[in-house]
Amino acid sequence: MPTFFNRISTRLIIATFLLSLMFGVVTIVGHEILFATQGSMMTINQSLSILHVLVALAGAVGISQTSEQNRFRVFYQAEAIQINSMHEWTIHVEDANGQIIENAQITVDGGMPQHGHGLPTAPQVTEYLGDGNYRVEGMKFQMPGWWIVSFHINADGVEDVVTFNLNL
Amino acid sequence: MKRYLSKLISVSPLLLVAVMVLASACTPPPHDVWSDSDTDLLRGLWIGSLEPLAPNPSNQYADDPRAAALGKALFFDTRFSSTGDVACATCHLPERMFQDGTALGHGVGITNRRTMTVVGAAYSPWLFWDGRKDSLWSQALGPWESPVEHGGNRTQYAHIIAEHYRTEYESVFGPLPDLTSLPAEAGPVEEVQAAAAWAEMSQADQDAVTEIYVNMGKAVEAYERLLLPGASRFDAYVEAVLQGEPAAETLFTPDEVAGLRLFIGEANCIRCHNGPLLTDNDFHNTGVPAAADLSDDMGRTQGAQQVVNDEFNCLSQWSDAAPDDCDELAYMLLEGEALMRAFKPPSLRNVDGRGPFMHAGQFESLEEVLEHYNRAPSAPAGHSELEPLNLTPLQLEQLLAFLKTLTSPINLEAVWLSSGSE
Repeated sequence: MPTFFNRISTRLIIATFLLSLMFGVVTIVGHEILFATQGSMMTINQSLSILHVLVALAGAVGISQTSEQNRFRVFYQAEAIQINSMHEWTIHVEDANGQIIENAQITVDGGMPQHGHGLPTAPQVTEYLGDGNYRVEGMKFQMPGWWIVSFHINADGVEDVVTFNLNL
Repeated sequence: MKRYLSKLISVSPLLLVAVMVLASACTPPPHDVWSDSDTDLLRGLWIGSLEPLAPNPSNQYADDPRAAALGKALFFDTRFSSTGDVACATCHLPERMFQDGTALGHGVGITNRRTMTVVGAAYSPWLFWDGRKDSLWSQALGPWESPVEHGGNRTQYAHIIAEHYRTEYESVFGPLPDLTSLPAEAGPVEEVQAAAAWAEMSQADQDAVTEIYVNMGKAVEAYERLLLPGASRFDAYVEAVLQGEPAAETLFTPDEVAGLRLFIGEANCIRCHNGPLLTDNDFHNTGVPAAADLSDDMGRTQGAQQVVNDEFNCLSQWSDAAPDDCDELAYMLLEGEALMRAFKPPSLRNVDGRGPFMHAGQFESLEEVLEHYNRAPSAPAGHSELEPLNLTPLQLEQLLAFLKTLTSPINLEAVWLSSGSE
């Protein structure tokens, strides 16, 4: 056996061998994972988007949201949202105790926080449908991505804002 | 134990090499493997995702084939002008994707904007760079009476219809009124004599003439709704990708694939150039430089006010729509910084060879366009939506290579693409 090997501890040699084996395995597996989830280059935008999917899941279709100062709880329902189509939403508004809110004044705004622009249209709450339900017309999203939609509610002088996150 | 160890140690360099060879043998997948989310984006751009045209509530004749045949004849007829030699087809040349290849439009005078392609325009809720018209039929009524485009007036045109198109017109729209007592030229136009003659006409006479004018527009819309793009090499590629065909790899070069990846990813093009026509038909300020020698152009800020006040919009008496059918007009944005110097992105289908580009033809070539997006200069007014992309020259070339794959013929029989005999 060569004397060179006698000088270096066998533990060190075994450790180096195992390390290189691990390196090979991680390279193969890592590549596979990366290409399975993200075919194109991972930009900052895209990694943020993944975070926002998680945020958006909380506000996905048909789910409710509490207003900023906990005064209202709002549920929304949208017809199937297609990029670039005018469509309607129906929202249901309750107070913190679950009592329906009737005949409130509600305005709508929103936009894409990452792009710094607002909604492409000026949606309005056009009708009180009874039972705490309101018809929102003129909704449109003209590009995919992370959108927020906010409802500013004034019910007999009690005011608050509810914001939904959507990932389209 | 020591014997095994010594064997292991002497063999380990070989094992190391074997592991590394294995690692490099598992090279990245072929250059065009697309993730699920990217495949969804590709499907959105694919021509197979283009929904059939919905009926236009404001034009009851929009899908009438006889109206389309009449509309085609009117589109190519140069008599509808003050000089007798300007037709819609003069600037909207069928052989150039229905545009003219010049920075500004040249009718009886010169316009202050780039002629837009008509192919696929039927899908847009707004027409013109600033969206100042909300239907194809009302759009057609603009140039016909514009002093720099056709330069004529609606009473002149009504007489031409009565003299040369009576049968075709009446078979679609019903009997023409008697026009014999009406002046030869009259209309709410800049030309002083015609304007004076119009002011002297009774309301009933004005309405009779305007109704004919409106129907001319509606016939032209029926024709223009037929002008749709066919499938391009890009669409063949996406179709192969969607079906998981390995042949996809031969349809696009690696550079074209790289360009497409940039388009839907890092270069942010898909933000505005989305959907099967590669435009969202909405208004965006992209910091396009002001054209020298032209007055300030505020884009959508002005266009929004114009369409709301337009004589022929969806809510007007000439529209066939019920008020409930005019959502785009009812819920449009009317003010705000976002509208300042914002313009509508044209469809990128057939963009190659369709220069010059932007609303007054500011960029000669696609290379200049891409350079502009890469640099993202600030806007002359309002706020540009662009951010500098920092793409390398190679990446810009790849984007250009991709854009060239969007070329396709118009999906229509040749007889519809030229003037027929009367």
